[in-house]
This record gives sequence, structure tokens and C-alpha cells, in this order.
Amino acid sequence: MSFARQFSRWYIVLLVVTVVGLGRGELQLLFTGGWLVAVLLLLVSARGQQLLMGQTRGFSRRVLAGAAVTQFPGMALSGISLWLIFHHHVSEWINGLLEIWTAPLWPLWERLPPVIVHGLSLAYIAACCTPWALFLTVSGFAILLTKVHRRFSREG
Amino acid sequence: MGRPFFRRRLLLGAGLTCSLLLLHGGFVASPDVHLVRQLLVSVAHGRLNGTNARPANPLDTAAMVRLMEPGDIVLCHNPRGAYGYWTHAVLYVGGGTIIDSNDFVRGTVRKPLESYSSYNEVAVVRVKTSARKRWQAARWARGQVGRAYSPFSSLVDEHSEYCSKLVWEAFAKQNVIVAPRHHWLVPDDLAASARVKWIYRNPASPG
Repeated sequence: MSFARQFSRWYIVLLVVTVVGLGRGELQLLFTGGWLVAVLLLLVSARGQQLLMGQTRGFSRRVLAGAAVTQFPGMALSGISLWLIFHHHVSEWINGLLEIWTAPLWPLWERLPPVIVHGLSLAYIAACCTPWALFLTVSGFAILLTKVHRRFSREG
Repeated sequence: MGRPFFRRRLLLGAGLTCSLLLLHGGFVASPDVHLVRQLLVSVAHGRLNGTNARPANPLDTAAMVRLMEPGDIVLCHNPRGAYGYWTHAVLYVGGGTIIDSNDFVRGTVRKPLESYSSYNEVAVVRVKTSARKRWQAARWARGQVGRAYSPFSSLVDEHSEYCSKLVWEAFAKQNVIVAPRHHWLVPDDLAASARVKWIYRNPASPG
């Protein structure tokens, strides 16, 4: 199964679990933390499998593509939401969907100080950044993993 | 190869979901289930589309301000709402302004009373407590400007607000419990409370 499909399914499972656990911030954060660790372990195992199969190239690229595909709905929602705001429109449905998509990390963002930046609350800005942050975290870890493996294989 | 793994994960997800439901303790029998059912039925009937029906008679804010005191609750009715008769609740903090937590983008904000003239009906209720406690509730609400808005946050979560929760919490901080504590609170819970008296209603209710 491709990394993108696995990552997507895991994120959907996380969303369902988070939405059911709404209102219990600590529990939600625990699940999100567990999910992130599971994704990182999945990356380590996928990289290990790839090396066993004798493939040394293309891992980071595949993970980058997979993470981008998985977080595309969130990226699109945040983009549309911001675009609408800058064109003086507000769509409750787009914002509602964005809030649901970023629900796993919302307990973290709502703890940010109550600050309004250019008319936007800090929590909303953080929610808009969530899909990008998840994409960058997973991609960054994949790149780091590739570099570490390369270094060890060179030294070995 | 992938399918059994996916099934196992699905089972794991289902297990976690069940555990969370159990952790909610009494969730199934609570008013929250009624609220969710009401929401789903309303959405299926095309309500909750984020628009207000324009009122026939505009809001007389000057008359309202003359009657109101800081700490009064303003209830708003939009026939296109989905979770009860009163679809919005805000707290009057004096000077013709209110504190409103109804916006994911801006969070909790301070707005002029005129902003509510798009509602079909507006009412003002006053909590039966001392003027000092109502004033303290208004002061507490003023301090929440900028706080995150989340309609999914529970009453015990102090990090984000939504309209009725902000009003409820402002009084709870003064040890005045306006409506019974349950997971989610709607404006109708505040309107139905025996702890409030009606001050103003526009348009005036028949009878």
C-alpha cells in the first residue's frame, strides 16, 4: 500500500477519533501525539523496507508527494478561507470544514494567547497553517531519515 | 496483504471511538444527542446556511440601550438557524457594545449593538443576581476579546469560547449558574432559565 493511502487513512481515523473526543482537549492531544509517533514509525519502517528491496532512491520524493496529497484538502480549505477573507467574504461552511480538518491540533491552537493580528485571531492563523505544518513535519522527517541512512551506509 | 492491516486499523479506530463514547459517561442519554439530532434534521431541511432572513421591523438600538445594563444577555432569533428558537446569545458590556464569540476567523470580539439588526427577533434578558455580579460578568467577558472560537468546546474547557458558553461562563465565574451544566449549551438553555427575567423583546411577542 502506498504511503499516501496509508497516511490518508490514518489521518481520517484520527479525525473521526478526534471529532468523537471533542471537548476533551487533553485526550485529543494524546491521540494526535500518538498518531504523529505512529506516522514517524511508519516512515522508518517504509524506509527500511525500501532499503531491503534494494531501492535507495526516491523515498523522500514519494513521502513528500504522499504528504501533500493527504493534506491537500486542508491546504485547499485554508487557501479558500484566506482568499475569501481578503476579498471581504466569509464562508461559514468553508471555515467549519477547515475547523474540522484541523480539529486534531485545535486543543493546541486554542491555548495560544488571545491575540488578533490584522483582524484575524491567532488560533485561526495557526489552524490555517496546520495542513502545511503537518506536511512539512512529515516531509522534513522523511528527508532527515534519508540523510541519516545515507550517512550510516557511507560510514558502514 | 494491505486489507487485513486496514481492517485491524479500522477495528482499532472503532475500539477507540467506543472507548471515547464510554469516557463521555452518559453521553448517549444526554441533551447533546438531542442537539445533534436537531442539527442534522435542520441541515437536511436546508437551514443552517449561514444567512439571516431580513427583519420586517428594524432594531431600535437606542431604546434598547436605555433599558439595558452591563451584564444583560441579548438573545437573537434567525429562522434559518438549526439548534433552537434562539440561535445566538451575546453579552452586553455597556456603551452600546456587546461581547460576541461567534467567529472562527476573528475569535471573540467586541461589537456595536447595531450589528444585530439583521436578526428577525432580538430579546434582552437579565440574570436575577446583584448588579455588581452582572457588572463583574461583563468585565470578565471584556477580558475574553481575542480568545479562540470553537463551537465544539465543552463548558469545562477554558481555552476557547462559543456564544452561549461565553455568557454562561461569565456568570459561572461569579458563582451564578444561569443554566444547568451539560456538555454543550445553546441560547435556548439561557432563555429557558428560571434565573433570568425578560427585559425587552423586538418585535414584541404576541400576548
